[in-house]
Amino acid sequence: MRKELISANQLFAMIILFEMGTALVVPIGLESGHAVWISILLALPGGVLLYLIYSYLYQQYPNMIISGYTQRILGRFLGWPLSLLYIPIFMYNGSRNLREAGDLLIASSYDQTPIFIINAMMITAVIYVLNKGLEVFSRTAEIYLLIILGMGLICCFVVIAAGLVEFENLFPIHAKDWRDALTSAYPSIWTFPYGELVCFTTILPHINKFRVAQRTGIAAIILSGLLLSFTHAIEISVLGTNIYARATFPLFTTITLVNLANFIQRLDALVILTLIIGVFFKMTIYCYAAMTVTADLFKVKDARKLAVPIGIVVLFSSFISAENYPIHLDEGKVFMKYILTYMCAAVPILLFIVHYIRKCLGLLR
Amino acid sequence: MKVKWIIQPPIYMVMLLLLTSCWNSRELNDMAIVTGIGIDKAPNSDEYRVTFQIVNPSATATSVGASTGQPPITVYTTTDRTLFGALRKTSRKAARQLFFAHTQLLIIGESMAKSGINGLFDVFERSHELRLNSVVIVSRETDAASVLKILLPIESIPAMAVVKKNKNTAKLWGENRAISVFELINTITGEGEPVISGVQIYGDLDKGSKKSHLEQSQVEAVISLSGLAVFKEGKLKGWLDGPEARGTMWVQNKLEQTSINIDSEKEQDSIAVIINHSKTKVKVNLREGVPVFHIYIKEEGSINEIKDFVDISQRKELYKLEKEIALKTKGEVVKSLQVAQSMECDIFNFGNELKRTDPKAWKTVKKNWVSLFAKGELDVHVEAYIRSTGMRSKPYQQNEE
Amino acid sequence: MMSISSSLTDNLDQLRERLGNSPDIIIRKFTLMSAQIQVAAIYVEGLIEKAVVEEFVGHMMSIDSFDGKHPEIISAKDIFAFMKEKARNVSEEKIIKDWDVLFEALFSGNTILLIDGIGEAIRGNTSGGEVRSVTEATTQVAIRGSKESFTESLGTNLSLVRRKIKSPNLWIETMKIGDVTQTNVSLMYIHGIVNDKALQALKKKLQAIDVDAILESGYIEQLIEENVFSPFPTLYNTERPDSVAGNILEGRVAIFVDGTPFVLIAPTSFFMFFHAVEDYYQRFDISTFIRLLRFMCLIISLFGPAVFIAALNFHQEMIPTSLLINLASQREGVPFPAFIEALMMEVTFEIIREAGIRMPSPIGQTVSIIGGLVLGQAAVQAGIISPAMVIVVSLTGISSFATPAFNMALSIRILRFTIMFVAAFMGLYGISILLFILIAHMCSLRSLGFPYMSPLGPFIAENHRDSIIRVPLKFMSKRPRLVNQKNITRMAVDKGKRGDSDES
Repeated sequence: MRKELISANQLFAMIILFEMGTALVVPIGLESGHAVWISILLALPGGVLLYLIYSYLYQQYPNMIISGYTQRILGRFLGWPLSLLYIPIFMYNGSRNLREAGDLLIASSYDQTPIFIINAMMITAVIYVLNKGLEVFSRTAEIYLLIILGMGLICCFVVIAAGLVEFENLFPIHAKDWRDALTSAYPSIWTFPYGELVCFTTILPHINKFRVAQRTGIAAIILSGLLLSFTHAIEISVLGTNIYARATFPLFTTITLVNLANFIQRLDALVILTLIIGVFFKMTIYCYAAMTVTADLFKVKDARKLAVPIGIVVLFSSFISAENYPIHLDEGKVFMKYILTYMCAAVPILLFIVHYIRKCLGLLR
Repeated sequence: MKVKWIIQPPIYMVMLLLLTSCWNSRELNDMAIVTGIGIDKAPNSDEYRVTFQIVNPSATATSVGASTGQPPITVYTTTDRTLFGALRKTSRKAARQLFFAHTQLLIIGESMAKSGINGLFDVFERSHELRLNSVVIVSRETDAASVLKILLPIESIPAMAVVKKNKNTAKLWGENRAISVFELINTITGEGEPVISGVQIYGDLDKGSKKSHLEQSQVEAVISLSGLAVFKEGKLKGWLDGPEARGTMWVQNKLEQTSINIDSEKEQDSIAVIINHSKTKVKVNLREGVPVFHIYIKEEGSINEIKDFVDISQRKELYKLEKEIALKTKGEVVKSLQVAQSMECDIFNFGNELKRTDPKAWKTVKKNWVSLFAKGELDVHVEAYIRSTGMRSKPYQQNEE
Repeated sequence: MMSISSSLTDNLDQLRERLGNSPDIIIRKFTLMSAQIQVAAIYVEGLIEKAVVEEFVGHMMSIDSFDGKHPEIISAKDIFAFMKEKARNVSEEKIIKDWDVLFEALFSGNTILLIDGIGEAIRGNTSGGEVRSVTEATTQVAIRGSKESFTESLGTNLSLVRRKIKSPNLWIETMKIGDVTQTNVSLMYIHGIVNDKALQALKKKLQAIDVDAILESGYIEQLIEENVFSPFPTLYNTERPDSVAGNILEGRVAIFVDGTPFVLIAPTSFFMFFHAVEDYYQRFDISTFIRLLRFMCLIISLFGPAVFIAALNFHQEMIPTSLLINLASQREGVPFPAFIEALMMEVTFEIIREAGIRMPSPIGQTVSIIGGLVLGQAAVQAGIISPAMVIVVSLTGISSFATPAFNMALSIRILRFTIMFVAAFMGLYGISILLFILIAHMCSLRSLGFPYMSPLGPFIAENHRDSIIRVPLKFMSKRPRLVNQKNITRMAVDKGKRGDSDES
């Protein structure tokens, strides 16, 4: 089978869609109050740094995914079990995204529909795309990037045109706010959404040139960081800190307030679509990552065969993992604090350091 | 093998579709579209008496079939301890499921307002159907149910008519403002107190709820916006009317347009000026523990009517008039501030402003803000400009001298 | 392979037997006076031009009239040699040795001469007969642009393009496909511009075809397309010579099939199906506007009824209040769910359309009037269908006609029903999930190895000069990338003068 190649544009699109995925819709970095948008910006350099580490490791091992070089750097006995850990983490994170989408849909308009059906439909699409391969997926991402940017523009325009934005809600920023912003930026926003880019370690080997991967990746992260910050700033300026903090889906509430000329109103569908698109791409990337890592660790020749089993596991864990949304959020906090941070940041940094030391000592072939 | 992979996903899809019945699918003919909700306090109990105004689609103006002679709306009333309970209990009376996504108007009866409104709005936030931008209004000297019952001319759906009236007068006269559930929640969670527009019924209530009263040029009952209800800790404290209400709008920077009458040298209130642009900036700071409210108003207007002679072709005269406008505005603003202070209701969100700009200072006054607000010093600055004098310069009445 | 025997009677018996005595096979026997040798001329009535045959036969037989001048001709061999010589003068001459070739020549409109005593035949090209003349295009009408369209004759069709591109680099390759029909299939491309990879792939695919009959280019299309189960067409067909010329100038290959005016073009992209030749003849702003309009129509005709159903059944809050009340009052008394209502109307519309096409054209119009006006109006008045639904269905119907490529319009129509189903089950969520699958499917399609969704996925900035919009002709200095890797310059940028000489 020929190696699937993806272009710089496609990587760019995938990273943006991945970053915007759920982070656009769910509240992030709650500790920082009305300065969330600053937290997002503060976490941005950290995200870029993380990405630099991922891309450095990719440069050193251009044909390997994360499980490959983990074993190479740490040795097989340490590396294999460590990379095995990535599989459930990718799948669980994917299922969390799925859960969030399902819950928003149920909370917003599908209150009579079982979550199983909603999630199963989404998973069907994911399995289909995974079967088609990375190349097809990345092309789809390119097209959807345009769609999502278009919808974002419409949403922004509509919210601003409806006169809902009140900048008093964003300013002034006092010293205490800066401190809050910093504490919620690291590690919480740093890992979600930036640290989640660890998935892309499985995609980077499909890019031919290291430079391209690095440059477009950084550009995409910065752009998505700015867009995220902007969106959350608008959400807060419209809703105020109080409602923003209490809303399960602030973007949704923001859009429901729009009423332009008594005709353009209740554009909830746009937000739901945005979330569905974001979740779809984020989840597909997670499933893809889980798929390739599994295939790599267990020497499965055709990774695509794993699409159905992984999809089904993700589907079931999406609604088994938590009995309701608040518990789901609570689990998320624990998961992010104690697991995701280590797997997204600590492990790659460790790999980087070990690799660097071994390289300096000339221990690597 | 390859063909199998191509066919499989569509098969899954079809299977899923077969599994799904139409859980959330609802036909328009099975829904009763609620346009207005009225909440009263049930007499002698602490239950809610909730009234729903429901559109009768076959009787609206656009109906294709023959007119049935029914009124465009019907009204159902239910009592329950929670709002949502009342919503669902209504199914015993209504043939169709009530559909709330198009609720335009929420009327709070005066009795309800007096006993407290803070607990009312959670269902609006939590439910995906009820919308946050429904307009809230307090019925004055009557209950919410009666307001919802009255049929109105021109606009066939009364709830929509009331909302339009509210928005219309907010735009042109400026004593009232359409406040939405969303804004109300934000005010309740903030440090200030809410003000809500009031409506009053003039005329015969019983005749007003019959379709026949629409068949005459002067209808039997009219719903009219009337004043602003001031709340304190969620309970109706009093009403602001006329200049006080308008002054409140001015301070809140919600005034879109209004018309004020100013005095000429000879006659009182003889010149009508339209204020078509007004901007208010508020600053709050503490001076020796006592808050000072700095209010800067900048307004632009044009002269629309002069009853006797003022030589407005002269610069001097115009300056005089501008000063007069500013003075008049300041008067209304100060009046409203004083009334609010006497009620000890921070309806202008001064507390929020202080909290936002100077959180440290806020902490020191937070506890006894209510009394401090009442003691607060006023510092009102108004700048008024006349931008136009209409189609004529001098009026046709000439000066006698 | 049987060769021709030297006895004329044997040959003629053989011929009659193998052709089952078909009456349109004309055998004329002559006896050459001087040598008393029998000669037979064979041709098929209807495939030949009478006058040419007469002239050809006359020339061949002229040996008798010049009897005195040719005293040396006495044997059959001499006559054969003479005729061979003569035939070379009259038209292209060829010697046929075996039956298969003879039949092929015969059915291509040749006249065959058999001489008693000679085991070879002479053929002369006398083809002609009734062919449809070049007429105006009927399926792809352009207000501005050449009016001619292809006919059923391969030769005519090739010449129509040749007339537009007078370049030695316009190459044509012909092959015969179909065991029984022996249909001529020609590939036309411009050497030096065509994408060789695509050309080779295409040739390989065509050579791999093994069927008995090719009756229309649709056969070829279905046999060489990569994804059989896709609703989307991956080959473009046209009956306009200017469209073919434009496309092969961009590096594509045209496939001409004898007997049909529809010429296939490959490789294609999805967006090509929404381009019309006229886009290049009108000014850029107009064509851009019209193209955008077409894509809007695509969206309406795909999603129109589906979104309407979804909004009506699932997302009533999205509809502005006054409109909702309006719709509710229209639907009051309509006995069907919105989906059934829409399905009924859509199916009715399809029936009217299909009946209108198959009917003779004067009746066809009547059908559409009866169907459209009477049915629609009556259904609304009877309260079976709500007026809003009629508006939505007719809007989608009209929109689907705005797609220039008929085969694409058909695919969209089929997809519309699928999307309607999903919308009725799950509302907008269902639509968006289906859209994921649909777009991923479209991205996975390839036409002769080229991504179908290019230049959108993969994104090729250069090609966007001529995809959804069209930039002024001055700025379209490059041929589309991907389709064309070498010789990419279409015009020299300076002075607007054509730069590269190798294309003309």
